Amino acid sequence: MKGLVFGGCSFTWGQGLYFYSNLPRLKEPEQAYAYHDHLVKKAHVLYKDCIRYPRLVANHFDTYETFKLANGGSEDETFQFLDVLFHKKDNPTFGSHLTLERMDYSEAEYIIVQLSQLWRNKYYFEYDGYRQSSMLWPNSRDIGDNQENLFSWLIDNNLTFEDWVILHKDEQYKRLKKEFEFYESKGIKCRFLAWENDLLNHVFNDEFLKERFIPLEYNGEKFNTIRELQTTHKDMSIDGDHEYFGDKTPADHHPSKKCHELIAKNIINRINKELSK
Amino acid sequence: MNGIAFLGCSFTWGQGLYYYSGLDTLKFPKDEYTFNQTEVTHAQIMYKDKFRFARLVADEFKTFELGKNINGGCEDHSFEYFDKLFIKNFCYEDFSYIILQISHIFRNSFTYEIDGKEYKTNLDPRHERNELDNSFYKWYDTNNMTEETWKDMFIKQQVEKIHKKLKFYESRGIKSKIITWQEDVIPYIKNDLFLNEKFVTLEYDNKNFESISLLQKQYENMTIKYDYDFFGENPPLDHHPSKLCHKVIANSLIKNIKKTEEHEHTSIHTI
Repeated sequence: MKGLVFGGCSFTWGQGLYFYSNLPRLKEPEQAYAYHDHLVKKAHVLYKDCIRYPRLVANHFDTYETFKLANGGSEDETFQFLDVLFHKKDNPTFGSHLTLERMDYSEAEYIIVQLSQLWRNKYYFEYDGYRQSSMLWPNSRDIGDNQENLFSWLIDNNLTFEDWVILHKDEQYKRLKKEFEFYESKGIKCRFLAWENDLLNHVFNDEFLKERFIPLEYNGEKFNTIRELQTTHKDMSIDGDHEYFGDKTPADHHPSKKCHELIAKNIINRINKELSK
Repeated sequence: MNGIAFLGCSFTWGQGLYYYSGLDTLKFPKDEYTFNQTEVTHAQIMYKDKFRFARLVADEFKTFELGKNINGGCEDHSFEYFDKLFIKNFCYEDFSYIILQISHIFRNSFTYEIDGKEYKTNLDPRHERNELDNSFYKWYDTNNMTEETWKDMFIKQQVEKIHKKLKFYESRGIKSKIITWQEDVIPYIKNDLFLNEKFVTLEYDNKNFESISLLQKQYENMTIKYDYDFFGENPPLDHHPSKLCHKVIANSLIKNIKKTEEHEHTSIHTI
């Protein structure tokens, strides 16, 4: 099998997996969602690369894997990463925070994207004579990025906030499909899984995306999102993995080692099924 | 187990392993001694990283491996690289083992002394003298050196350097293992009690080989350019270890490391 390209956020990057090592200098973040680059040393990064699900899947198929360098992100960043990886050969330093690698389409077998939280992606709109973007979370009390202009644009266009939520989801759904169709046309199979359920209604109503979606199966139960899996099985999060860490677990809500193994298993099963056809 | 550092030359880097990938982007070499990094794509690099002995060993112990990104080199360069890791990015406790693959020993620098002053050189007296006024030749001639006495001095110096370096890292808690590409250094390692304990022979087909070169001499499919089993009639012109050879090296190292770990575990429990 040729290479596997992974897209995703901190869940795919493997945040917190270094707490499973015996390495020195491990420091917990002050809260489960935080990440401070200076607290995570090079050895910690190298260690988590070995046990995160992209490596587990690649090892199973005796091939190599690649993922963006920077932790965190969204689909905006995932598709930027793919763009740099496949299309910026003539500019070797472009997007160096994402990757320094470059690939030909012919060198990749699969792109496997883990959808993050939809609201991390920017919404683009035309206002005041130029194209601008905004990023805000429907249920958050925080003020979103460029919220004022977005709201003015909504008023100008006679749209409600609820209309915007629908529009944003629709944009994200269309972008996901368009990107996948593009890479599939280049001979790379695209598959995806989801942390949150933000886009799943769109996915299940679209045959193309539906057949590329990988749900997670665990102990005979099916979970459409990592969130659902982690809510049902606490040990799928690092901070709930008492089996490994005992009473005091690291303050980190990211997928546990067991969760990475489970995600890997589901991707492997899916690919194996496809290969046996 | 914490990380494993792999120090070596192109044999450790995994030169040529990408030919096993079958990728459409492969470019085959004009001759076996030319290496053009710009012709090796990132995907090919990732492929060879996956199948070189460094990753195979690290995978077995569920840990990470670290080696130079740059292809080639010698022990002097390997330790220069490794020493610098601890200035900023790593601490000694990040590593459990150093695996040193000794390359062509004469790639390193030789130290000689004239009037109490030390000089270093990479000149090889077996080659044509292009820098006639270089003090090395004066030293060589004045001291009535022969090829044999120079070689003996050179290897002794180099083995002493390796001894010092590995001893230093052992004192910092990093254990070490040694394998060698060529044979000339073996008697010197065997004469050094400390290094000899770390020396790993390669096991294949119920036989033991003291160097990669001896293994390659006996089994042609241990070299890429003779790996007819995999490539058929026209293997790529590359004298580096084959995919199978990397596996043999990895298995030998794994077995040896496991023995060391078991021994340490037993010792701790006995105490």
